[in-house]
Amino acid sequence: MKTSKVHYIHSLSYSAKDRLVGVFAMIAILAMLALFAVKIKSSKMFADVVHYHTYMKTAQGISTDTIVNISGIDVGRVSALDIDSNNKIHIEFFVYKDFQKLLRADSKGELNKLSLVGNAVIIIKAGSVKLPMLPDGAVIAVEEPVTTDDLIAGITPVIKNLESLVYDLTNIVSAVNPKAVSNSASDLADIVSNVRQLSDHVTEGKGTLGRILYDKSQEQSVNNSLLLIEKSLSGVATRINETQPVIENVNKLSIQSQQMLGDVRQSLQHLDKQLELVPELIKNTNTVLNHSRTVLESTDQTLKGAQKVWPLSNAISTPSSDLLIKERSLDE
Amino acid sequence: MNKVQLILLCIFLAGCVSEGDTRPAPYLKGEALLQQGLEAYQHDNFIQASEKFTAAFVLYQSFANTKGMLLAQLNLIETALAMDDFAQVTMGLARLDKQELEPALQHKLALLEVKLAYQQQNYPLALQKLQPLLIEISPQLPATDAALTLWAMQAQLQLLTQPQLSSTGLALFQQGLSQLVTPSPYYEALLKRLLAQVALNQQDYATAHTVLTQALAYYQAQANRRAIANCLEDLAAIAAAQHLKNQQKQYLLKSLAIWTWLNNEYKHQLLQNQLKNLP
Repeated sequence: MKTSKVHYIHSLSYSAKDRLVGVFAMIAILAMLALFAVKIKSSKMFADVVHYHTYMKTAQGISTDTIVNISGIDVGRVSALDIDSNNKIHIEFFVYKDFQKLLRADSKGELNKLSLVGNAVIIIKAGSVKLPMLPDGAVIAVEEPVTTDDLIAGITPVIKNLESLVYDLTNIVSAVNPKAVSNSASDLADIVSNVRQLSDHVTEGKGTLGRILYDKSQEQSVNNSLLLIEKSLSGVATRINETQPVIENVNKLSIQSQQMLGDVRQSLQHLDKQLELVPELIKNTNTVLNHSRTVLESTDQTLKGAQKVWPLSNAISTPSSDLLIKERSLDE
Repeated sequence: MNKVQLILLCIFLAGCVSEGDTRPAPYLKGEALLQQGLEAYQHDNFIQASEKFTAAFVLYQSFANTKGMLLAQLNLIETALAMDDFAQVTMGLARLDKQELEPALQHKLALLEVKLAYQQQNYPLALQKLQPLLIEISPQLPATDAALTLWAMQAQLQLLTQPQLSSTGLALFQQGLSQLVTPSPYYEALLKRLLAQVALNQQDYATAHTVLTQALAYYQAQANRRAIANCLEDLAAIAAAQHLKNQQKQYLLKSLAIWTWLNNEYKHQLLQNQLKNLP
């Protein structure tokens, strides 16, 4: 028959068992004490502190948990809040002794900007090392943040302006004709399309502009032409200087021409007699007029064609007489 | 000189062309709408033309521009006439503020009234309404386009109302054309149509057919749909006078196709009725 192995605990005496339990309990208590000590050290519960005071009009966002921060380090906390004899908020806060050296005579505090929405932090600027340290119980000036009332007072005119702006905008929007906007958008789309075509042509080197931009020989040719124009302009300037004496002579001539006008009047009287022959001339002129009309019609067509070409097209306004349907025969 | 400077130079030169049109936007928009309407009319797209002229009228009305409103209204009436929409024409004429019309626009209005009477086949009334306009032109002066058009109208109406008599309008039209060194083919085609009517009145069907075919060839070259359709109807009338029923039917069918394309319900109905009586 096989004998079973017994656990060692059953072979220990009662006193041995008590000692073993005692060891476990002691280890647990020691661990707990160690953790407690670490926590005390980290929370600086018993660290030496230095107290300071400040006075503010409002204590918005500040409580006894509010942290005091110097150069990004949490160096203390607000310890008490009360009201002084001048009805100002008296705030007492402490700073750990280790950080007292950061507080100098020129140190100033401010409440962080988020104090309005909670999480207020008193931020103190580290002072100059050349100046003396602030002693325990000293007063540090803390700049007060903008209050909600100040903000609202500042925003009110803006809101009023915004209100009038919205009113104006409403008027503008109501004045906008959707159909006109739609037409404009349609016209704009046409314009964009035309511009795209134009730019395509230019990119492909078509047209004058395209050749100017992409054709080297054309560029050279234009350069040469511009040089010639420059020379011509200088020549014109010289001619203008030369014409000054001529203009003076013209003035003299105009005086003489007044005398000649008298003679012209006499000639006109003779001309009246000659006018009797004009009807015959008119008959002959008819033929000339017919020729001219043909030429004018061609010119008119050419001009109309030219007017459709940019930039003339946007410079010449259409005469209103062309806005009626052209007269045709009865069957058309 | 680099490219940027060249572009700037081009822009400056473009700016030197002339002073731009600085009129307020509604004027430019109104004229643009009228132009678009005229373009649609020239392309026989009368529905679109009517829409554009209506839009122009509404626009001009929005800033009480009487001249623009009248131009749009007159064009609307002419477009309705092109579609033989007599109810629309009559309504348009009734709405027109005739007191505000300038002499040129009064002339246009009178012509529209002549056309309305003609298209309603009331030829004596059309001739009566044409008389005041004929007084304004002098046969002694060189013939103008306006004069030639009026004489041609007079001739056409005289040949329809008094087939037996010679037309004074035709004589004046021929005289006016003879003054021109190089008469426009348009007027020559118009003359041929008048001569065809004369020949038809004289029962000279061969001549009528020949000259009308020549006129038709011109209109076909110009793709002038309404003139082509009317020529085909005249050719059908010549065929009918000769009792050539089949030929008459062919001409009428061709004309019907054109009027159908032009959305002209009045003409469509008229030709359908004629075709019903043919075998």
